[in-house]
Amino acid sequence: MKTRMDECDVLVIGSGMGGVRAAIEARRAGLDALIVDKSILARASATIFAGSLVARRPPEYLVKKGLIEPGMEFDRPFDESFRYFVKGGARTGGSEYTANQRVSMTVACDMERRADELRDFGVKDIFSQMWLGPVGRKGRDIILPMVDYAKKIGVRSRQMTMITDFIRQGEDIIGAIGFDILRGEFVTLWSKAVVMATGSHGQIYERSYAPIRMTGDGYAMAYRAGAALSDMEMMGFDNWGIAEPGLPQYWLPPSLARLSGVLRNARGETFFMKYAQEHGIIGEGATLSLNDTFSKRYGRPFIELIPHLIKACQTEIMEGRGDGAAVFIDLTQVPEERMYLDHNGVWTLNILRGFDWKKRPIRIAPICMGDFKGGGVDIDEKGKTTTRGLFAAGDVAPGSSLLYALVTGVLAGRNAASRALHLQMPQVSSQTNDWIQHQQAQLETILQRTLQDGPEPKDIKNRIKSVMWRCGGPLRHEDSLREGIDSLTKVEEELASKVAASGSFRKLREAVEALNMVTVGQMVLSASLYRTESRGYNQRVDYPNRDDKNWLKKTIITREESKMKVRPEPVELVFISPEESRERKQ
Amino acid sequence: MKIWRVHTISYEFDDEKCTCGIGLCVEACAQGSLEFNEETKKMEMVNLEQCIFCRQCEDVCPTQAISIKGALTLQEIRVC
Repeated sequence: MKTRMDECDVLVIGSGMGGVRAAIEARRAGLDALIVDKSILARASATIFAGSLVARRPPEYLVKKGLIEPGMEFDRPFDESFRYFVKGGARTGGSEYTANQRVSMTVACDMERRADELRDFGVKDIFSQMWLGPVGRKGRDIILPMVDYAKKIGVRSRQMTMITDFIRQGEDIIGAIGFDILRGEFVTLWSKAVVMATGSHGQIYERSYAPIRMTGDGYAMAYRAGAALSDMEMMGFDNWGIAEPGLPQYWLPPSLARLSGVLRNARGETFFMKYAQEHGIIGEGATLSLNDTFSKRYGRPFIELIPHLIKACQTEIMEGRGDGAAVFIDLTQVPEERMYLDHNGVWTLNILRGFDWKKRPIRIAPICMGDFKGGGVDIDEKGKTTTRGLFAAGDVAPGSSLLYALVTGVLAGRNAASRALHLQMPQVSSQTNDWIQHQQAQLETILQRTLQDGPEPKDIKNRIKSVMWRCGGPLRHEDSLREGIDSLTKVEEELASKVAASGSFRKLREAVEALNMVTVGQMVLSASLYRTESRGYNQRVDYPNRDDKNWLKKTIITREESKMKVRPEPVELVFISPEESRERKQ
Repeated sequence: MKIWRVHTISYEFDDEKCTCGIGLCVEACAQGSLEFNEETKKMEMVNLEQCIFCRQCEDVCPTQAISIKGALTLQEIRVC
């Protein structure tokens, strides 16, 4: 089969916020930057659905109007922002102090400047982009002008090109291989530095509202190329996933509607009230009135309640007090005007179409958020991974949020550029060429298999997702994690030897995604098994408490002699430690 | 013209206008509601149940083959 070659100074994989920003940075340094995406530019990224940038304290009038509750994640001056990143994205508990604090500090220091800079790219109405106007499509309104700007300054792009692996020669990454879905040919791209901005892996779960192309390809590719990944067990879940038959698998967007309402199990019991009393999470001034919002009711900021909400709901479901795999949120008393809210262009009432929420409670269950997670390809404060020539930006690095992507995009783009400025195009060894041919031959085998030889990639994907949800979901146990690892190993064998793309490059993309999903799934399960405590996103039923004495550590995953190795790495508490944080709160 | 309905919302697709041959709408669909038919080179609705009416498909279509009617939009709310 034909192979098309191309070369550039800085190769950027992925076209969400991190990728586009990195490419702009490299191009501004006068280099030839090429963005490659497995789908179309920007549109398949999580950025499109991302919320506002959240860089500043909200204007008073929004608080006064009741659009922002004081104490919500948005009310966040610098110190709070920094802590947010240190905690690894506090939304549902984050990774609680295992994030790289130097990177967090860089992000917190840089974010306002980076957000302001968006004006240069033609992003309109920065104020409302930064500060959650009540409605609007934030991520989309930021990324689309950025893509136009990137094209205008001469960033090249290549769409519908799936990258399957990085090319590693000796210690250096010197490009990437893949295939062009539209032309139906293999592609080899040579470059002096590579920025990966491939997004996260929300789609490895059965219940997930991550965009469908978020299959964690970057994690798997980085792993195969020898880079280290940290805290892969830290995968964020949210409590408000709709589980009503006939309605889409999405969440109740974070409109104020969901901040009031009453949670009940199948017996009609208000189980969270009981849970809150038993677990001592009721704060000062709690009204305990079901008519109040969650934060007033329990006397705590809503974000602090989310991890408990997930745990309580999942426990109800697992112990059989739910309605099948769901519990109920009763919104019947919520005033209708509160339901007229959107989340980045997705309207609550469009999702609930025709469902009579005024009369009936809605079935909900935990759901994987995908974009909120604490793990990823390990980077330092220069956006460098542990493999030379490979940089990471955005969700593929250990962090999340648009600002994180924006700042790490700049870091990765800039440092990739400074590497590229000093290098010549790499000389390719015959060994490398052999390796490329071997990889292409494997893809060709999958491509030529037909349905008589094996299952479609989609079926295998569904099996992976179901294993991951059952064994590595919001609440985990040693037995389930081990079972999950065994099941995925079996799926992996079948996948490698049987999966059939029936001559279609679109199906080949799905097959490669499925292969990557298995690897990423194994990482999540292995890291979770290794961390014998409950911290942030990693909630273990068999180790229910956080253990700061032994576990103020990251889990690091590397590939050694073709095997997955997990090891702990102490966190450098350079700026803030859990003790200090406690003192400041008091 | 094909029309799919859910509650008061209708998803209208003019397959004669569907000519990009890439499936831009399919690629933009985050929920997997749409699929690309590789023989006809046109979009196919496979799972309207999963649609969240984010309007990405409508947005990217270069020939305006898709139109979603009866869903809440930003404009309507501003008028209120």
